[in-house]
Amino acid sequence: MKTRKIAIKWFVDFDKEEQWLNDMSKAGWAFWHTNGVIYRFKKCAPEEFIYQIDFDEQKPEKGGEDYVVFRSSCGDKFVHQWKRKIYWKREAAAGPFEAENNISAKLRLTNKAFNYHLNSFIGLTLIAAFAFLVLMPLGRHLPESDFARWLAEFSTGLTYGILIAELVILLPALRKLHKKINELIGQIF
Amino acid sequence: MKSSTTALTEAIYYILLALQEPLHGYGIMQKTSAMSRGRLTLSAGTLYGAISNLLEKGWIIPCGESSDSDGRRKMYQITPLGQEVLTAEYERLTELVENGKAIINRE
Repeated sequence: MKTRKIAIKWFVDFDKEEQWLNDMSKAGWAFWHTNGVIYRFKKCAPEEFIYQIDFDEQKPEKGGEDYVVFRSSCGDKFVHQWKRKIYWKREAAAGPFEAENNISAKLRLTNKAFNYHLNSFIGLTLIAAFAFLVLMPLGRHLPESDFARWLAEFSTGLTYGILIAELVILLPALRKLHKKINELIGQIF
Repeated sequence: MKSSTTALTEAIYYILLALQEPLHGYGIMQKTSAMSRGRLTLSAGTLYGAISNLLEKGWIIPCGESSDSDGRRKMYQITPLGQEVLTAEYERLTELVENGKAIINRE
C-alpha cells in the first residue's frame, strides 16, 4: 500500500492552501514538507489532523521568546517552515486552532499574509529595478559580444517577467487581502 | 506615566489579571480559560502577539524560566505600570456596569 504521496501545487492565497492541506488530511494524507511547489504527504488516518498556515514573527526586543518555540510550548505541533511561512498541525480531536468567531485572530493572520506578499512585491520590484537600471544599460553599452547580447536580453526578460507576475498575481492578491482586512476591521467596530 | 487611555481588549484584560503571579504562555492560556469559565480560549498565536505587545509597552516583564517535563518556558509577570493600567480599566468597567444598572434596572 502506498504510504507516501507527492503533489505539485503553487498557491498565492494562503486560505486556499490551508483548505487544500485540510482536504488532503480528510482524505488520509498528512502534509509534512514543501518547497513552495512540491508538497509531500505521509499516510494518516482520515481527518486525523487539522492544519494552520501562519507567518513567522520577530522576537520582541524586550525579552520575548522565539515564535516557533513559544507556540510549540503551548501545544501546537510545528510541521514545517518555508521562508517565513510556518505550517502547524494539531489532532483534529483537539478542536480548531482559533474559535470561529475570533475576528482579531483572523485579522492578525490576514495582516501577516498581507505583509508577507508586500515584502515579496517590494523584493521583486527592487530586482526588476536593478535589472532595468543597471543590467540592461550595461548589456547595451558593453562591447558587442554574445555575453553583452545575452545580458541585455536576460535583463529585459527579467524586468517584464517580474512586472507581469506582479500585475497578474501579486497585486490582485494584495488587493484581495486588503479588502479582507477592511471587512474584518468593519466587523470589530 | 499614563500609557493607555483606550479600553483594553478582553484578551489583554484577562492576560493582565492572570499575570498577578508569574506564569508561562501555556499557563496563561489555561488560567484565562478557567477565569472566563471556558468562554475565552486564547490560541497560542494570538497570545504571542499579545505578550509581545505587552512587553513592548512595559506592562509585563519576563521573570525567569520554568523547568518542567515539557522543557524550559519563559515566565512573565505584571509590572507596576501594568497594574496601574489594569486598575484604571477595572474602574472604567465598574463605571460602565454602575451606569448600566442605574438605567436598565430603573422601573
